[in-house]
Amino acid sequence: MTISKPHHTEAVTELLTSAVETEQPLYLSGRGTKSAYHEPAVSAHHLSMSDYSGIITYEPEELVIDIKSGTPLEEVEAALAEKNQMLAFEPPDMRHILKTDTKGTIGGVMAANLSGPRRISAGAARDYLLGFEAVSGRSGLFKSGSRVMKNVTGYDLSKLMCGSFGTLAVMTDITLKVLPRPETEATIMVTSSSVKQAQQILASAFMMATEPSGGAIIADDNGVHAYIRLEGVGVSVNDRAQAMSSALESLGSLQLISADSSQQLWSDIGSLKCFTQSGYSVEQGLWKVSLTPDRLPDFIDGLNAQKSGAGSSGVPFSADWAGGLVWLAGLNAEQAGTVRSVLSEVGGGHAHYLSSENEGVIQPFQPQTGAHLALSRRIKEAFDPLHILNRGVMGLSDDMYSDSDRAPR
Amino acid sequence: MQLPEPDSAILENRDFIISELRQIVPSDCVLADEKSMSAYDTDGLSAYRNQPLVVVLPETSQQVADVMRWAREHKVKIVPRGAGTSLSGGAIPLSDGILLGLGKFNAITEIDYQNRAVTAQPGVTNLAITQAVQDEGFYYAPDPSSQIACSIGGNIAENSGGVHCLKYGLTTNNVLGIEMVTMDGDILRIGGKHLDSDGFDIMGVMTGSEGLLGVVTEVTVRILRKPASQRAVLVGFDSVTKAGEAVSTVIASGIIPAGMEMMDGPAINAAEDFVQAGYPRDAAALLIVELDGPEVEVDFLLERVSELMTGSGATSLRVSQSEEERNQFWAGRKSAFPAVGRISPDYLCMDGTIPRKALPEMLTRMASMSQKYGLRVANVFHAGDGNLHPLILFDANQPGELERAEEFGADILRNCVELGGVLTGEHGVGVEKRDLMGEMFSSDDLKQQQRLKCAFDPNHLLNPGKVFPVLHRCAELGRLHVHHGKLPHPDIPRL
Repeated sequence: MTISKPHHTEAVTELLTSAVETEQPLYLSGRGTKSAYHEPAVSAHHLSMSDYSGIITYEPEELVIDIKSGTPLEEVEAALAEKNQMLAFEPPDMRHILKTDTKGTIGGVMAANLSGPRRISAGAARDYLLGFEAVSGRSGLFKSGSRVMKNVTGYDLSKLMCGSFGTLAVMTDITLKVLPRPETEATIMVTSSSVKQAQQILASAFMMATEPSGGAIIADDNGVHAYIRLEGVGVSVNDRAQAMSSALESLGSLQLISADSSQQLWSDIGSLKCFTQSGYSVEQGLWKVSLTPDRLPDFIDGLNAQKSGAGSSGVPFSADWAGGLVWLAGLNAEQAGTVRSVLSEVGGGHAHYLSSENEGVIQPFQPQTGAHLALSRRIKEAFDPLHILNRGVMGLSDDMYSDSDRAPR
Repeated sequence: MQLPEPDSAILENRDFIISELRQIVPSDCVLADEKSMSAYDTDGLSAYRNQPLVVVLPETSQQVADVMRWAREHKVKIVPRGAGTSLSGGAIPLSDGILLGLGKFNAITEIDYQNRAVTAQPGVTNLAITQAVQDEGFYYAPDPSSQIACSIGGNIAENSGGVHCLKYGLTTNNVLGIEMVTMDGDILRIGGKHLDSDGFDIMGVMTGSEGLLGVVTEVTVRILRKPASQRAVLVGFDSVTKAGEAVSTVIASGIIPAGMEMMDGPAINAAEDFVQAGYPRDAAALLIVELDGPEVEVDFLLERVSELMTGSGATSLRVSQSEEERNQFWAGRKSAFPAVGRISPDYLCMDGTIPRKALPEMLTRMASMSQKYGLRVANVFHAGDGNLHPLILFDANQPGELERAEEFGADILRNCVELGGVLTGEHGVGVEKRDLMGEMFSSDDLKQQQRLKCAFDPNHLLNPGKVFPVLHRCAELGRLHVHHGKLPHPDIPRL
């Protein structure tokens, strides 16, 4: 596969113009760390944005940063940390579970709409993309949004770009809203004996006026642990931790985790350390499932019931977002029918399959049907009528191109 | 401000259209006489009126779908309407279009505390959602000042904000799911009580699309636990520059208040005359900073904020000592619009956003524009997020004053864009700012937005004449222009 690494926007436009003229599709990536999330693109040419890198302007007192899309996430995070600020959506560090060298680029994080534990209180990546400039699959340069916090001028194309996995346009410059880092944090761990109890603990915690900024469930040999994170100024964190402890102590055995350990804990939760330390990785297949939080116990029960023949100790899972996000390890593409049908039985949501060899075995994205799928395809074609960008990704052109056309990874 | 030329064939067919619609929805859901339709002539931009072709008030999603499918087949335009409070004319009717009112969709269908979500029909008011859950200690965060009247469906269409956006976000950050009807007459369910979407974020782009992409027939929103306490501090400054700097200092210190509002001298005095909120009349700028959360946190941060304000040169400072006093602080700000209405026969409310640091420059420019146009202006400002609401005072009975006020307003918005800001922070483009879109977006930018429109509505039947100054045919927008062999930069590697 040939590769182009443009250094400036004009070069991106030129590449696209040429691709449109010759109707040659392009595989678009940042540093390629998100390939496990999507089907391989049908393409002989790779457009990598990794050399289009650097922070353009950063104005901490305006809470705004402009970044070239190929900038490493590590670099963005370091610049913000220096001013005591952060990406509030807490993009998770997936290096170990996905077996990648780096955390990838900021453009990749936005294109995949990746958010970590704080998603439950602060919103998703898509909530922080104030504006961007991009080159569409038609090769046209366009911008959308702005550099201010509050803007409703024109359609909010930022939302479409987030989660589009490079199928609509090549983002060049992006503007993000940033927020101050909390001064300190603490975590309350409540251990009980079932997922149902743990989910109930999280629900109770999130119904209190204590503003939790994380709610996770992880099971191990000692039981099922519910984790609740509190962030803010010291006096407030202490006060809320106390209020929450007294409200939850009857529901399980309770432990208070202080600042430094808490920080490490949530970093581990985001990066799925509970899987990697048991030897799981993307190589055995990973499922990322979004569902109604209180349906989590039924979902896990349903999966285990389906798997009962296997005689194991249950499906390895890690839940976050107050129960609304659950990762499953060790379930490969063959379990797709089971995962998606159990999800549908408990009320729906979406189940996304991550794999190191996504050779078109199944659709990684939650399948769409009927009018919804037709609308998605029309949206794709509004930006990229020739399916130049990441052709075959997101199930948007599967019937147009056979899997044998796909480039190897 | 001009609306698209009505299609005379549609006007001539009015009786047929009415009789067809009466087959689709119950007969009493179709209003065709002038008197009953008059309630739908305008919205919150009441300087403009127009009579719709016919008003349809469907009762179910299926009826909405049937009306839209019929309209698509017969190429009849549709203008969706919630409570009709749009300040940008988003719901102004078309003479050759069906006014599709969602007023009968007025039920809250589910309250789910376990998952902190409320599902409501689009005609339910913003405030009614909070009222439905407040006894359990919950609320819905976005609080546009029209919240007593505006509908949640309209909030989706306009991506409505409010005074607490800085901390809690706009509508788009608080919606979990929608049911929508497309111009094809398909009913789609996007999202639900789970987070994010595994596919294009159609809900995200529907939010703030001003009724041009689809009609929302159900909404699921996230509700939040009411903060344990709320307190505000009222701070006077002898210059708007100092007040603006004080706002930046607070943000730079790492504090994100629940609300941070600014008023200038004319707005302070109008409000004080109207409600006697105890504002310092001699101040050139007034800040209201509100903090919410656990009591110890609010007390702690209020002390910090007060220190920062004093350090920034505050001339007066009062911290609310009771809920009553906090409400009193807000009373002046919340009644700023009617207060200005008392000192002037008419006013225009603008809605630009600027980077906060540009505030002093913007206010200097505004003062000279005020001179140039010979019209007074009072400013209220969501200072935390840079959203400016200049109120231009004029008298519509004086020949030429409305036009002068509109020109003044357009000038303000042009300056907002020039200083790095935008045309509208929360009121929407509608018809009001439609012709200014070119100030902010290039023709390529606008064409790409319109291509998206074509994916939803290829015949421009949904709310045409709003948002976009020029309507391009979708076939024209879809064409690809390639100049074979004429590529610049020959040194760049080719595929």
